[in-house]
Amino acid sequence: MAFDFAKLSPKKTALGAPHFSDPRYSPLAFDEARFQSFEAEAGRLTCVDGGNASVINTPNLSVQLVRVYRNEFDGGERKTSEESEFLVITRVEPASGGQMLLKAETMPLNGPKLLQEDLAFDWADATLAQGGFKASPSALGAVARRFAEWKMACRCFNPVRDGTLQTSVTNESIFSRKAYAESKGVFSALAKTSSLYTTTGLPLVSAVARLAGKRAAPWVYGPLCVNSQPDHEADLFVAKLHENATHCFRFEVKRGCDALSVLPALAFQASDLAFLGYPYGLVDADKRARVPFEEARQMQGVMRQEIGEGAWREIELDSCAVDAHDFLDRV
Amino acid sequence: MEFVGQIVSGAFGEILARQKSGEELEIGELLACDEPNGIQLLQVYDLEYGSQIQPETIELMSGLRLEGKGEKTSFFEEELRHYVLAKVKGLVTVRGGKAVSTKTLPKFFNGLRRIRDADLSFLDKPEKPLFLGRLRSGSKAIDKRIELDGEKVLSHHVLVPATTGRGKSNLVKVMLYELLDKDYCGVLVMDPHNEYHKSLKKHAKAGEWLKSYSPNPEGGQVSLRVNYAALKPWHFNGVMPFSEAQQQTLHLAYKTWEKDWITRLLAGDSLGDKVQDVTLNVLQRKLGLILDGRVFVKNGSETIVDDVTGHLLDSKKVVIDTSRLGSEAELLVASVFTNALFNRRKAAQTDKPVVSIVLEEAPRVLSEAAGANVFSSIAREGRKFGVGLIAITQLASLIPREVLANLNTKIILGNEMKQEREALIASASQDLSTDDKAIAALDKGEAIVSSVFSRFAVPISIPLFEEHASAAAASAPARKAFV
Ligand SMILES: Nc1ncnc2c1ncn2[C@@H]1O[C@H](COP(=O)(O)OP(=O)(O)OP(=O)(O)O)[C@@H](O)[C@H]1O
Ligand SMILES: [Mg+2]
Repeated sequence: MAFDFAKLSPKKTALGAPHFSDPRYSPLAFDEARFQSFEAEAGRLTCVDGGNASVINTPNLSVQLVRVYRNEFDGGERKTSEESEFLVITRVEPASGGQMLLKAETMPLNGPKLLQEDLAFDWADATLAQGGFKASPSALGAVARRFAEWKMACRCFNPVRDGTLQTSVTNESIFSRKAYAESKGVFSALAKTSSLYTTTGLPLVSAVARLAGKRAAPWVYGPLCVNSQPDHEADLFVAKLHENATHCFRFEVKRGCDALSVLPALAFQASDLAFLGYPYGLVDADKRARVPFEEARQMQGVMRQEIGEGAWREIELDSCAVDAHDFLDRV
Repeated sequence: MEFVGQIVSGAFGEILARQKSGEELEIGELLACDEPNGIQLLQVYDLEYGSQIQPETIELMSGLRLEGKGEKTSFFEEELRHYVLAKVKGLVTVRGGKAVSTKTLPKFFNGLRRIRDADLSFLDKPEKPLFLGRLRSGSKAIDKRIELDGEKVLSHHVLVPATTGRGKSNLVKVMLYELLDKDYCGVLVMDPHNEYHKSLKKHAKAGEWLKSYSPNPEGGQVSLRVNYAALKPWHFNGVMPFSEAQQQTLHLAYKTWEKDWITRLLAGDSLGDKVQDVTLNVLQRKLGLILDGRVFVKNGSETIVDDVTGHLLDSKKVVIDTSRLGSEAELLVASVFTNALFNRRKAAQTDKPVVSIVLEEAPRVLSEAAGANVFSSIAREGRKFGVGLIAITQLASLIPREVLANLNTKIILGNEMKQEREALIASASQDLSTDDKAIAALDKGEAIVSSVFSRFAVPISIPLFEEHASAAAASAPARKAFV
């Protein structure tokens, strides 16, 4: 065989060191002393997640259905849960100086109104742009969802986000700072996927898992770097939350907080058999926040009635300009 | 409102409902759903597991537990994620105290509750009641008497099918006990185990309403003797098989010797050279076996047939003890009385009171192989003359389909034989296609009544006869004799 597939085995690759392309993260070399073992222990956590799906998607109009959800568990017991559902209607509008604006209004459907003001973005805003192109109106659905997730985390105890604590969109840090200020306990995030690598090209999370060897879980490794990025106020770790878990995850806490003040409770929730090693609260939040394609389709039917057949057909003509399969937002 | 389940999906006749955790729904259980246009009564016909978790994950999870690696694992909110799904179907809708057929789906997501007394107000007592038992929800009897219109039900025939020991005789005893002093019907009971007489004589009014006959009469029974002269050649149809030549000979003998035909045949008298000696000899031997002198006699007892039919037309309940007779002799006795009754009825101007004939192992006369006989005629056209059958059997599948379809009320007791259940379901008055499991799971004394005279297939619980009779006796007004 011409290609030596055996060389694909990660075991053949040296661990290297954590790698960050952004100079504001200065990596810390791998060191087994950075492992800490701990015991799972029942505790209070609030998991937050969101979901969005496209209802209408044309080059100059987007309607997205957004749902944000949180649950609070004390050990295995659900204390509260809350859901907020709204539509994000985004249009392209010309502004002064030849600029174009993406303007989004929200329309509450269910639960508390999380976003009080309309959103407006410069069409050319680089934080929205995908692959160097101008942002499409549909991008604001995901933006509104992120903002709303932060809002949902306000006044929570020990909020845990699905993903990371990094903010990426213009003005998002206003929402994150408010969430840090108004929530209680320790703010953290757990990411199912991670795009961090080592200097040798290994996924960072797998490299840490290799370094852990047969160490008994639960454990946490880190920090991975000294982080001075102002829009990412977090210390970065990798954690394995159950001894029989097959996966480790990237874990972040609000900069300067004690990771071990929430990890035991996360590990406790990670004993759920449906996904050993991943906290049940996040499983629940993911499921409840998700907006299935079918639901977006139903909403489309409702809107079609509201709009009327004639106007709807015009919208449909416009939407031929975008990919016909692009009902679900991919952001 | 105490909901036990909630509708989550499905279609008409196959609604899927999630069982509330902590509740335990049963197959056959009756539920109610409050709708704007009335109360829908529904019944559980199947149960299955539901889970929010992928099957592979569940298999992996049980592996972890089984192999001892399940320590430090748990299930969060187990009652929310694993549950039981019940398949339910609508039975009937109660609107303004009346039952109407269910033609709509209950509201999506509506809650289901257990039925209450107030839901059942539509089950009123008919003028001529035929008591069958109490309403049953799953395996729980509900204190609601199930009574159908007896006159209609009895004239349109009743089938009581079940595997042995499931309570056929007990049911018939209970029915007859309740019917005993009802003047709207007469009943002829062929009693091959001498069980009906013993039971019915416990009735306070047995002296007036019960007429019992036995070849060995004791305590209030009348001697069962039938004169040869009462026999006609066609009484043997369905009773015992005769060849073509033998049949012709029987008719020739009857034509030639009239009321003496049996005596002369048994004596071996000649019918001339039209009949071969072998034929006569075989007939003589065959008849000799069935007419062995215990019931059918050469002399005396000339009025018994008129007496019995008279009692029946007088709404009496006539029990014939055939416990010491062979099957053929029993059928011959039944055939003689039934023919006489049917003839009197055909000649009369009225179809009242209705007369019903109770026959155990009914396929003996109703199967294809039995050929045409008075019982199959009654099954086909008896209702025109107010004569019906109560056919008891373990093997309903032996009864031809068009006859089964004519037996318009079926009181289906437990049956583990698939073929039997299929025959019953195919010929039922309601769609019982989803009730196969329920029928297989019926316990002693539990039944499903499918009748053209009922709005839905009614699940019933039949009381044990002994208990029913003593309860009835205790609640009856005290008799003067005791004072
Ligand atoms: N409704 C009932 N409740 C409780 N027990 C019952 C009931 N019906 C029948 N049984 C029990 O089952 C036994 C058999 O009942 P029964 O003789 O009526 O059955 P069967 O179907 O007539 O059987 P076979 O085929 O032998 O004639 C009875 O002796 C009684 O103990
Ligand atoms: Mg019996």
